[in-house]
Amino acid sequence: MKKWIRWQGIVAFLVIIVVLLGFFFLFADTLVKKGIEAAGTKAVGAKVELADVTISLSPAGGEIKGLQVTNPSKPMENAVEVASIRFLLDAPNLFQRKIVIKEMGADGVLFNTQRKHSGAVKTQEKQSKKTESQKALKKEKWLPTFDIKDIQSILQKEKLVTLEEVKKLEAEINQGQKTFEKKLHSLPNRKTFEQYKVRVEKLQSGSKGIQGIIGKARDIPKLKTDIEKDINKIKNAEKDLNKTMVNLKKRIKNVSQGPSKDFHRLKKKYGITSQGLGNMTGLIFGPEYSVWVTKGLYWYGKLRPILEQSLGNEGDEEAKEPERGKGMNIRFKEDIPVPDFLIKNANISLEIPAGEIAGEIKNITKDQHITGLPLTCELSGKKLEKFESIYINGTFNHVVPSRTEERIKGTIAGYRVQDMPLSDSEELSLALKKARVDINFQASIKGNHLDSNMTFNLSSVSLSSDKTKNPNQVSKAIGSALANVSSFSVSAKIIGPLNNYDVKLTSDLDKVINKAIYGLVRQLQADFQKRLNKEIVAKTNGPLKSLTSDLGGYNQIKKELNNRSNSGKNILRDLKKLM
Amino acid sequence: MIDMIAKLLKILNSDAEPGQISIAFCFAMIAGLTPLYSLHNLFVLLIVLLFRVNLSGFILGWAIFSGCAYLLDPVFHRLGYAVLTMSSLEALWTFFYNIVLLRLENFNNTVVMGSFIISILLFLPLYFLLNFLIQKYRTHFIGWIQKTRIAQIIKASKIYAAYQGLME
Repeated sequence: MKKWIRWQGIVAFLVIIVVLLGFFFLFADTLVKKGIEAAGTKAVGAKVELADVTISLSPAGGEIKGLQVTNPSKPMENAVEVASIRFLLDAPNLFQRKIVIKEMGADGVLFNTQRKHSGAVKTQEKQSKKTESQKALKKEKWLPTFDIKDIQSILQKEKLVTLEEVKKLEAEINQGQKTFEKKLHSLPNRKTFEQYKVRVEKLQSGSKGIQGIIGKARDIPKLKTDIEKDINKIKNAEKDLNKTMVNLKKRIKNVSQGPSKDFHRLKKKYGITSQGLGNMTGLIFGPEYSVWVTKGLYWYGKLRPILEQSLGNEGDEEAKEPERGKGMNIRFKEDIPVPDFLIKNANISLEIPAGEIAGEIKNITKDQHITGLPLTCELSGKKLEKFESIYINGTFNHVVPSRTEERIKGTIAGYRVQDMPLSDSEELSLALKKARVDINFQASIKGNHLDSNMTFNLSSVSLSSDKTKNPNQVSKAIGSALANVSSFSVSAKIIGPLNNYDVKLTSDLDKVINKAIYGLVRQLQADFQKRLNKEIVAKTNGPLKSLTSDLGGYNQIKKELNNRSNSGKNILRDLKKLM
Repeated sequence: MIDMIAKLLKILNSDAEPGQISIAFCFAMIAGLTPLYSLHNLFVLLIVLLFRVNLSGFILGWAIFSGCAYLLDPVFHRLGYAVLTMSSLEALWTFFYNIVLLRLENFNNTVVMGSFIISILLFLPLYFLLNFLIQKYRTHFIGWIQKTRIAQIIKASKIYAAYQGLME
């Protein structure tokens, strides 16, 4: 047995343990610093750097100084910078590989600070998506300018239906006239009736004897029949002609109403309506508001995965190949469930340009389903440079992963605005010279559905509009109306899925603006309509008149038919005298 | 590489018992295949230092098996995952999971579990195999090889020179 045991080995083992412990104590700070930087960089996708880390064993905890988290989309800027973070750890949980921070204090939290060197990570994909500009409403021409379009150019561009109908009808009239003229040629004419007259005269002057009487008795009925037949032909033709003429007159009457129809059609298309004036608030405030909403949701999208337990099942776990050498940790039921990472209570103070806001965030963990408690935050600030007070209260509830809900509400009181441009489009130059703004907001995200409501109450308002920059009557009218406004409110509602929400902005400014330009719109409308009507009438009058005169041909034919019919009747009368 | 082979030859040709060399390699297999930071490796280190295990063999074996571990990681992960998710063993793992020492051991990691199982399963077979091979090497191989022409060439080579240097 002695042969197999090497007692010096115990000494060697103890020396190794002491060396390892010594190494740990000497380099624990550096190891923790490197660990936080590596894990943070991986999570954020951009460099996370620490100036210094101090670890203490009793009490278990430490201090982190100079934390810089690079903004992934702006590598030369820090998304957040923290001067100092002090924390107290729950030591027993460390042996269970759980990091539970009982208390944490963060001081000097700054946002969007400049970096000395780039914080981009080589493997990071350049996220140059400019979601802000994508979602922001484009500043195109949005004011109705009420330019009266040149009537002549409208009439040149647009076909008048009246003229088309007139042309069509004219062609039909001409065609019909030709048809009747052709028919007229085939009907019994003056020559025919002259011949009948001659025959009648012959009969009149014929022999008065029995033979003459017999001859008359034979010829007269035959002649009468022939004449009556011819008269009937003419009468039928006359009937057709009358029918055609009545029909044509009816159609001419319809076509004569064409100018009115053309007028209404073009008025609707090119005229000025007040429909586009409905949501002037959205047009004035919308673009800037949309940018802020998109920015807010962008950062929410960045923060949410960090605090969210990934939903999946064991099958999904197996499907994912872990990093080589790292393996995968399988979780089992714990007697006393504790999250892998938890910050029970964090006191933070944020430095914003207006001053300092302090507050508390509780239960920061990805495993809310284990703690059964949602993340809550409460921040407030008073007597800030530009605000009277600010209060924000939020809850991030992922206790039941399939039914997540985030809520935030708050107020910003007495925010003083100065020289804030509202619209710098080429159509309307409008700025908020000064105002006091009280803001109430609340928002909730359930699953993927966003519902948010913000109210801005502005008082002591001074709006200014640079008249030299406002090119048209509308923008001038709006500018003048708004100059008299001393208070107004804006309500912003956002509803819908996170990737396709609707922003609706309303304000009592809409009434002021609409009232100002309503009169202007009416006047311009009337002027346009008057001129349009005049031009249409001028264009269609001539052709319509010519239509009526085109029927003259038919009248001639009618007259001729009438004459022939009368000739026939006269001859028949003379014939009847012989009977 | 040349150095490693020379060291191996030195160990094989030394006066150490075949059993000492074999067990050194077996413990090196445990330490090399499983992740270094695992708690059981401290226990392995204690055994290696306390008992007359050939330290050179242990260090050399650890280097060799660490290289193999990198290649076999996917196999370890799959085996570890299968074992840890076996429903018949869930009660056992749950019991272990609530013991602090075993949590520190990180037994619930798939690579740790898979590599540990494989190294334990191969421990005895490897021991007997290496014992057999070392004895065969010492009994038959050394004498025969020295007589061959190849041996003459090898003796003239760098490997042999390195070996000679180590022997001195």
